[in-house]
Amino acid sequence: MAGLEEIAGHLGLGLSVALTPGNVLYCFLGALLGTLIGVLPGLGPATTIAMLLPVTFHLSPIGGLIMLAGIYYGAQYGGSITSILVNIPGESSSVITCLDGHAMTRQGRSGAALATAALGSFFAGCVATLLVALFAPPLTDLVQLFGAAEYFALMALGLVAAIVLAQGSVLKALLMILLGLMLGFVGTDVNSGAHRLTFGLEGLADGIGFIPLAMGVFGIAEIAVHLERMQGGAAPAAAITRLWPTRQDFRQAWPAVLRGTGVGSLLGILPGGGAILGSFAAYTLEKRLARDPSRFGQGAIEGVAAPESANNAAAQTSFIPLLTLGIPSNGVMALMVGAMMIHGITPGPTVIDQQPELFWGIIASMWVANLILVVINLPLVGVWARLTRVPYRILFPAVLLFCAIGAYSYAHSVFDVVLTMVFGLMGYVLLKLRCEPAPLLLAFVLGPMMEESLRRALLIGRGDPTVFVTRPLSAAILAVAALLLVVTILPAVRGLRQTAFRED
Amino acid sequence: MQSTRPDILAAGLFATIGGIVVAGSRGLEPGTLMRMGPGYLPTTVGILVLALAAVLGLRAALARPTDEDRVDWRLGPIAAILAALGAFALLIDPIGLVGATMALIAAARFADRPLRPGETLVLMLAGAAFSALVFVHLLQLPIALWPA
Amino acid sequence: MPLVSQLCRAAAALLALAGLSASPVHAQAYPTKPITLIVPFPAGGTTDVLARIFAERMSADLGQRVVVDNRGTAGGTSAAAFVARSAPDGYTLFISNVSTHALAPNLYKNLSYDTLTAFAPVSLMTTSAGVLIAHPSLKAADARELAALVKANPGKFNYASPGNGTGGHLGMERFRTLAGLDMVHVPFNGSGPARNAVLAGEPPVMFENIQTVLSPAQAGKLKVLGVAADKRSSKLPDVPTMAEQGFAVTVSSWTAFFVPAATPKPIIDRLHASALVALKNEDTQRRLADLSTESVGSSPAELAAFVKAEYDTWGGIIRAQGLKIDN
Repeated sequence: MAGLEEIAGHLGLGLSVALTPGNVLYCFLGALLGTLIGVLPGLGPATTIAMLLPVTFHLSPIGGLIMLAGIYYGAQYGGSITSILVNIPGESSSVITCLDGHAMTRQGRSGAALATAALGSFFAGCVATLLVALFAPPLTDLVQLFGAAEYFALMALGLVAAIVLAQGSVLKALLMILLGLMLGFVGTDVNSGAHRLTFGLEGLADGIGFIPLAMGVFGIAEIAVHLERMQGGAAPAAAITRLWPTRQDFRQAWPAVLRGTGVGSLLGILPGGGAILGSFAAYTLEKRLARDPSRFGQGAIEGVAAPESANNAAAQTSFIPLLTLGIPSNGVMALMVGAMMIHGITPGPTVIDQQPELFWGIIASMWVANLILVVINLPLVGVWARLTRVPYRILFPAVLLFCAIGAYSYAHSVFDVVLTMVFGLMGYVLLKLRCEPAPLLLAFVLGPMMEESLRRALLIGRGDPTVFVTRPLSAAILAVAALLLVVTILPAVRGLRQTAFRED
Repeated sequence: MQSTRPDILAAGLFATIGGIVVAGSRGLEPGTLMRMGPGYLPTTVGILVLALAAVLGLRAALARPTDEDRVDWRLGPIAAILAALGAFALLIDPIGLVGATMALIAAARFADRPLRPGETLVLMLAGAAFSALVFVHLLQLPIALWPA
Repeated sequence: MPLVSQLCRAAAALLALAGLSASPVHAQAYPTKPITLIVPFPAGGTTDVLARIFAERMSADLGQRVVVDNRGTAGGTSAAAFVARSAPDGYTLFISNVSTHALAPNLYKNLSYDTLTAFAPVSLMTTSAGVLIAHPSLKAADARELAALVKANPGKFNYASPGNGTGGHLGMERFRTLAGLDMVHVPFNGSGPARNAVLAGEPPVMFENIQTVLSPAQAGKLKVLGVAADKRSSKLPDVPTMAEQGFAVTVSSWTAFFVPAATPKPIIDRLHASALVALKNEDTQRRLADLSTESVGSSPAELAAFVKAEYDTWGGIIRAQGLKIDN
């Protein structure tokens, strides 16, 4: 860790770059455009950035990257708006936000959910930016402690935590996780190049896309069920009672924001599943700590505050491996690498010494982008929340249209629209049978990474399965996973035995 | 409509998918523990799903049915929604975004009653104009607007 | 005042976004509408970066937008198949590389097109050297010491690659065969994760493109054991080539423009001229230098000969290793 004075000097240098009027303007434009596009269902941060990337080529390197940072945070927040309002996650790390965020919308508390997401993200962004400035170089070493065995252990912990998300039957949650794993197997096997479970369909050769699956099991299924509820004579979404979070909301949310920030910052550093693991590790933690866990999934404000803080904190700290090692930790970061390379910068450990203005400028612009985002979006909370007052019979065809265009435009593929249909039907049936989709989606994202690291660890360990317990870090993570599994499953097993005895 | 116990249906669904995965992995190399082939985990997970689905189904079959177990199937909305997506998928490449958008909106509106044809027409036109303006004009997505 | 100029540039950026940027109108009939540049990889990779640099310059020269369209699936083969069946009217341009034109056709058995006849060459644009990199803790300073180390510990060492059937995988297999080494191949999903693993030392070695390793190498986080190209790199003048060390392994990556086979010659000539304008541009040259990428700018005939040679070389290596992807 560098001296405080040195850090202040670095941040001062960064701010002097980021706060020039031109750069603030780019940041503002980026955040605004990112929000407006990211809010369209089916257009997550990766798609939004890919679309807007060419705009930044006309700017100076630092201006371009600052605008891109604005687009990134804007798109991410835009995706959270969609998750909360219409239950469609734009990327894997906002899956969790759907659970309680959309439940709050149904209760007429969408304003509170949106404001909590914005404020929580802002707080997390500020803290994580500071962490990046303070610890970027030493935190890099953490990445190097993680070999294949450790990644496997981490993903296994993630899957176990996914069971905790379930509100109903543990057995069904487990089956949904396994179903998610099976969907993740589809496509070309990384190790052998063999096509798995593609059934001869070329469209499946690269696997099932996250967007069609997420839009199908969350968005399409939700629309169908919502329409049924309306026809069944149920009241439409409750009227908006008040736009802003109440004092009690704040009291409940702030500890969750703090914990979410911590969890997200730490997991964001790890390449791969950082942001998604962060968001639902934070949610799992809140649910475990809560006095009344049954509130989760029914519109608990902590269930929005914690994962939103965590995924934004992770979004900042995922720049650490990029800026210090040149490793993109996810698809969005890979796009950032591309943008930097177009501007003639190859991210890596020398950037910090050779181009300090750029390095610290980007870090300072993260904070500026977060500030601008909250300034843009707090006034807009009312506008977004009022969207839910639009009669649903007008809203749903529009949402459906964006889903179709989003699915199609991602790879110009009619096949992806068909997949969205298939998963829409599957999601609908599963929802009807009271199987919750969140564990499925998490397993789908984590599964392939888990399989890869499992097979890699065994390959490197020459087939010796004890590598997972002889390496201390891997053993420790697996022990936590086992503990969590036991405390989650034990009550369920007891319940099962009681059912069995009752039958006798 | 019919009432069925959701867990038995769910068990059937999971078992079917698990069975498909196990069968679909049969041609894949299972490999060894050191060099796991592409078929190793799909087969393992598929069998696990079959086993757990059996537990789920048996547990539900042994339990006494209650009123809460009733599943109300109203197939109208989901059918209209799937038809709308299907129409879009069929039409987007041959006739372009404008036509596909209108077809999607027209089909989707059958998910709700009453039908309100006038409002649907307005929505179709507005949807087509919006998607052309935003996706093709502003965002420059390489999607054809009209039949080529 | 910088603010004014920055505001102007922001406005220009917005206008470009809205597709309203004024472009010079050319007298020629071709092109009369935007040209789609198919990139067979996802956005953000090296090929994509180069494609976007060229697309920007070529748009200015051709007076029509050259729109980048990323279709990255199945080792680039689905993008290649798409181009092969596109209309040969000059409005579909393909930027391809060693993977789509030399590796995949030798690995994938059931391709819907013939790589050597389905495309008309336009120009070889760039080449970039591969290098053999290792974790700093590895007790070998060059490729020869690595060979000796592995020979003394048969079966103990692993190597990383960006995936099955990639240049990094096949190059290492070639090195392994030439030196008679017993090493285990550990494939990754892309070069980023593979490089990450080498930075962490597990596995300790791999072949990687020069541009991504210069910075970590300067910082002492990686060492470079050899340059897998015909000559040494100006960026790493002290590192000997693989051939100098007795192993004839080249893992160069290159990019080239192709169009569907039946495209008329005047259109190919127009695209070729435009590609050269884009390549010779001062800004392009500076950016290529930053990326440690050599600019070439060959004629169509030279590209045809080059691709044939690459196709045959890699085909020989792939057959010698008995590698195939049966799909």
